[in-house]
Amino acid sequence: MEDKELDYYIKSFKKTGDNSAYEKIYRYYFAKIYRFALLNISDHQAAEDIAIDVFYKVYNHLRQINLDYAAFKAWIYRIARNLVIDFYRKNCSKSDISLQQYIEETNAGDCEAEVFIENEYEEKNNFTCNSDLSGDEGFNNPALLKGMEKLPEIQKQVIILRYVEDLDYRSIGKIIGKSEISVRAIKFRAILKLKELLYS
Amino acid sequence: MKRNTDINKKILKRFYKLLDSGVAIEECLEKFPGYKDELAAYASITRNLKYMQNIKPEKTVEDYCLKMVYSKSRISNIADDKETLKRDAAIVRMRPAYLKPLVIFLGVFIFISFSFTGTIYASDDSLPGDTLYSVKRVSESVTVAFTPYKYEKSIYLKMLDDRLFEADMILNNPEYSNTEAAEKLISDIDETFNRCCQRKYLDSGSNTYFEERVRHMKEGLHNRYRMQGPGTSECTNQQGKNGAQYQKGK
Repeated sequence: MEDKELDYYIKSFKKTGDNSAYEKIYRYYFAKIYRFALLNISDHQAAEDIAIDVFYKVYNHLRQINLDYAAFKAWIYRIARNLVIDFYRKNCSKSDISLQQYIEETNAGDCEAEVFIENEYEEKNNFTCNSDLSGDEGFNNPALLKGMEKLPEIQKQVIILRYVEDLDYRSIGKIIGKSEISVRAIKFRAILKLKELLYS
Repeated sequence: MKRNTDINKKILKRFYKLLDSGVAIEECLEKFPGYKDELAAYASITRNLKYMQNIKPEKTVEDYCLKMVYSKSRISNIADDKETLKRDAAIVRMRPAYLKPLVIFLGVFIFISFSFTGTIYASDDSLPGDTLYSVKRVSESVTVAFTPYKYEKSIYLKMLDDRLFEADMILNNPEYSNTEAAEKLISDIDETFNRCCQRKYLDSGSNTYFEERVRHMKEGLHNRYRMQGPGTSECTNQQGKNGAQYQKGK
């Protein structure tokens, strides 16, 4: 979906409260928000709950505030981030089901994704230098996930928002409440730490 | 060793700057041929992070969550409606529509009444020539106008007493220099005294008493402000006759 199209749906929902416009927004963002929550809290059930809460808030409050698509993107991730923080506050100990376990379960039959990853890695296997990060495993990568879990929360969130969610630094800054330069610095530290954790 | 790390960091920053500008990972690596091995690990991490974009919920989960969002919104809307109804009902019970204008009207009325009463009260001690003296005289006129005839006697006697008291105050105040007001006061005293005589409000005892006081005050004022002679102030037969006619007419 293009930004203009998304902007149109946002405005349409704001004006008319049209559920079909809301559903377009929901379908576009659900996977992203769900993934963001899942990567942060490693609990698929809680990730679902957080995604529901995020979209419930969007459904109730989008009509009251004036946002374009760029601001909306930052706003929705900020809601998700706040709910993730709330989740951490409520549940000091994480769920028994780890992210790795969940990914293994849900992607057992996801051949399409695996084929895509295999092809990608066949082409670029020159650059994979650690057996734990082999291309055959794709995103089902226990070492990387474990490494990410060891990162401080803010670094983990920046890494996820930058490389998984593909957001620009300005939007990330708005989401986490820091300047663009700080976000760049946090990302850089996170990458160095990940490298240290995975390759030392 | 430290120097190497610094160089690597600089290269790494340039590598990520290039990546951020939208260049593909492989192309970025090719730009740094001397550091290919060192950067490969970072490239691998970045690539693997990007592969996480393939994490997607099942369609059933997406649909289920959408239903949950709608049902949650509906429940919340119903709760909100109930709350709004309750609140509105409470407002209706507590605040009828006419309450606001009534409160405003009462507020304005009370404010004006207090201001009016306060002004009249403040004017009670005023002397001729003061700003509030006219208010005092007007309030006296209004009091007379709204007082039944049988109670007018006390009002007029009080008025006469007040005029004489004012003259006394002027005479006892060496700084008072308003000659015009003093002249007016003398004429007011004469007028009030004559009216009391006409209407036979003064019996023999009080007549003598007031006559003495009026004469004394008038003399005092004339002497002080060097006006013409005080003249006489007494209840004549003619005045008594006129008073009797007035009472008969009433």
